[in-house]
Amino acid sequence: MYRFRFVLARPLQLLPVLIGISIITFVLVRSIPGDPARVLLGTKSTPEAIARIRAQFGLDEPLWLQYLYFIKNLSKGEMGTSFLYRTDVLRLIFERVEPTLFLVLGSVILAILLTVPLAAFAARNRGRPIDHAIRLFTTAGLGFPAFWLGIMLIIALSVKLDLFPVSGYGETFLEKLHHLILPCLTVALSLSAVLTRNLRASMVAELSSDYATAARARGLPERVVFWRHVLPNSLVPTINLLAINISWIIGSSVVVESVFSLPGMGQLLVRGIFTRDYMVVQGVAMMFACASVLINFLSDVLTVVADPRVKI
Amino acid sequence: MSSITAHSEIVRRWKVGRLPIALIVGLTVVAGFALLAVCAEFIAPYDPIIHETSNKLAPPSLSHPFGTDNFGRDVLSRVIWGTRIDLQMGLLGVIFPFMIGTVVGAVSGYLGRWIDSLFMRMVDVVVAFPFLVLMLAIMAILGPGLLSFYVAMALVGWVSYARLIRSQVLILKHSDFVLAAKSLGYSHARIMFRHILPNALVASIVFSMSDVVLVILTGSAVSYLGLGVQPPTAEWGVMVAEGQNFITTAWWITAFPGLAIVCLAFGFSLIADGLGERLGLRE
Amino acid sequence: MTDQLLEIDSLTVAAGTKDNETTIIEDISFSLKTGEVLGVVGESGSGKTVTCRALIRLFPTRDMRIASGSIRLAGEELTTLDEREFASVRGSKIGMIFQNPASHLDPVMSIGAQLAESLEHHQTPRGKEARNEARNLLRQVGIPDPDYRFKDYPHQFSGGMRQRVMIALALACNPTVLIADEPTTALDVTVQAQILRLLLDLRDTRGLSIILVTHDLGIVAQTCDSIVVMYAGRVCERGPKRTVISSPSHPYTAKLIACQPANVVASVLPNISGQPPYQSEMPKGCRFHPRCDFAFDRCRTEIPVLAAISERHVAACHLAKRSNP
Repeated sequence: MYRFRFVLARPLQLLPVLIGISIITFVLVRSIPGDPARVLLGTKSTPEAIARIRAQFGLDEPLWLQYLYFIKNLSKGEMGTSFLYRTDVLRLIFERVEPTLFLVLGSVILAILLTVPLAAFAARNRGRPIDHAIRLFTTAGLGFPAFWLGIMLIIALSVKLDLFPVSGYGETFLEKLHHLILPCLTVALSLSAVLTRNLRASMVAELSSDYATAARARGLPERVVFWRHVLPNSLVPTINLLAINISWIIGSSVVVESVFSLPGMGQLLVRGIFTRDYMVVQGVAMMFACASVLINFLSDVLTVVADPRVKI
Repeated sequence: MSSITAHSEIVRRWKVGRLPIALIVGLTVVAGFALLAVCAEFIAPYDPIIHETSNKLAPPSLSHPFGTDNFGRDVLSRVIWGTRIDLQMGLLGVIFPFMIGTVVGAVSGYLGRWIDSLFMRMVDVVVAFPFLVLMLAIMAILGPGLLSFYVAMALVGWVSYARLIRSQVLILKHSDFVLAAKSLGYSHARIMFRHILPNALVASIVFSMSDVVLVILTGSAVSYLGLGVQPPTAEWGVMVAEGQNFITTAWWITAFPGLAIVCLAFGFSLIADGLGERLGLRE
Repeated sequence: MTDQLLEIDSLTVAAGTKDNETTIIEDISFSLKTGEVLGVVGESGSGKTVTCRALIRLFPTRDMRIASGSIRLAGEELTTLDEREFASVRGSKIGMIFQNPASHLDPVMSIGAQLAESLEHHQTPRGKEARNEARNLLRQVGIPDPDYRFKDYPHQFSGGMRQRVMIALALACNPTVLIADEPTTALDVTVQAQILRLLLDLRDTRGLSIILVTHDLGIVAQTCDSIVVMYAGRVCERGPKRTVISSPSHPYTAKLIACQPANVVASVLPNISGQPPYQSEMPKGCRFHPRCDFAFDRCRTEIPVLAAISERHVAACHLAKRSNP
């Protein structure tokens, strides 16, 4: 019952953050020098369009009232119109969600697939050369710029070996998958550097835990003790770390989408910035912020559901 | 005065014995890059900007160890000159957030009440945005350039320091020695600057070393995307972006500037590791 | 000597590197008959736990090892087995339960799954059969409503119930010797008695031999057949429970008995003055002499050996022979 109430009460606590996000985006766009109507509509705006947007956003009213207009429009799902694409921003974003979602999901899955064996190898050979080698990799991996790593992978695996396409996105599912492998690998390599350090540390701690000793005392082989007892216990903090790092993952995906010309939200954002399509910039930034808040919320809920010990 | 006591706090925590290898290697790497940055004029064999059209896209050779780019510029010289910009980005990009975050965190933690709530709600909101996305959004408004990078960095980066300092101050505020200082009737300012901040700063100084890595990566990424440093200035992210058109023919234009980022970042990561270990904050 | 199930003979455990070696326990000898309950008593740090861990070769720290001595189980020498061969001893021949059941159970695995895992590893039952057997075990150790509690996680049990689960887990491997390392220290007094009762019942129904490690002489008096008293990594007295408790031959044993609240008439609890010695600064001669009321010159220089007091009663004290010929 208590747990249930927690899951229900948590979204209410998110409300101030969501309001804060809307205030920041509002302030950001309003602080662009020049006439807001012209800024939002671009240089080729017609007088009628300017008049329309003045009315819609209440641009002649005081600032706080403008904010209320802004919120009113948001609640109707109206984030404005992109002057470049001449479509509704929300629709534009929804068309671009898929590649970004697949990129983030794929990177996380790939990162976990890389992290678990690496951390396991390091933890079970603690203090030996292989542990130091893995530690060296993770320390160096923290400093790999995603844009450069992506290009290096393209040079090695696409240009030289011709295994993967250089850039773009496919039509069918298999094509899309083929196009996504390198971008996902780029994000996953850096991400696994962060995760491996953490997972190794918790594995080392769990390996000498009392329940592991007790399991060994029952005659369970080290292999079983490790994979069935130590691993599940050390994964819990790593999953949390993954959620905390979602902001970083989204950041790299923005860069990686530009490197590989993936038509996702990140590319939309970067193009929006260069074309001064502020409606798009505002919409995408807000969407990304809401997504990261949502993911952190889900991770909290998941921790409570998955780990019965968590006290609320 | 606080810097003197912060210094003595580090001395107190400093464990005696051999320096960790990580720290020595890290310091050497960073010092090497610093030397390159300061003496770029004398070390770089060629001019980083002037085009030499007769020698375009030449592969690495003895006269051009890192090859030349599509304008015939020597990649090695550009990497050396780039050190100046990227090292500066890493340092200035950390110092401003460090100062803002320290003030906000100290005030927030020490005074508490509504000031604390207000600042922490602000932190929550800034943290809600993906770091790079907020950076890009701010830079989109300020316009491209190094200056807007620093401004955006200061506006976004302070939150980590504010959180770190605040949590340390909260712990120290209730510690015995601060209670003792209070009972002696010392002023808020004196307790804050002489007693709490020096202790709280140690953790942020270690964190700032790993933060440099993040800032350099962000700065070069922003420049790669075209929002930070503008061509023809030699900056590693810009160089990678310029070389991307030639990956099929001239890998060296992209490979070497990226490697420079990796090495510099590695140096700072090692310093962070070694310092943390030495000051008893890790492992 | 053939009626002895487990014989430990001058067992020494060392730690540290070869050039900087310290002995943790030294020259430990005792034996256990089938169906016997043996109490190992001593203060914390006396080497009780290390002795137990040596029997299943799972030391508290990685640098500890058996330096010399032998452990024979039903005539088979255990110290010479390699790690792979020893795996068949752990759990299935010698089982162990621990002091703190809360931390010794995997927190994110249901107790049913943990039981089934141990059963499947040691015996033939698989899947449903293993789960049924697991329920049986839970019933045997007195967990009410085992069908229902089967899917519960360790944190959903009380301390006493967790210790019952630990016992069930040890039984799942069907061992002949059960080592109980301070099994009731973390529990309420009433629950303590229940757990000790359960251990004795299991001795009777399953013919288990039990090594009960405790610092509480009262528990030993209630449950054990014989006693080993340890001090600073050595055995100082050993013998049948009645003999040792009624006529202790080592001053340390005598003091331990005097400290039992049940034996105290005065309003102030007596205690043994001083602290047990550190590993690094072991006193020469008898290790107890700095705290002993009867210490004389010989105690400071010469280590007393275990000498027979009566047929099965031995003590390591220079005065012991004279006081009880």
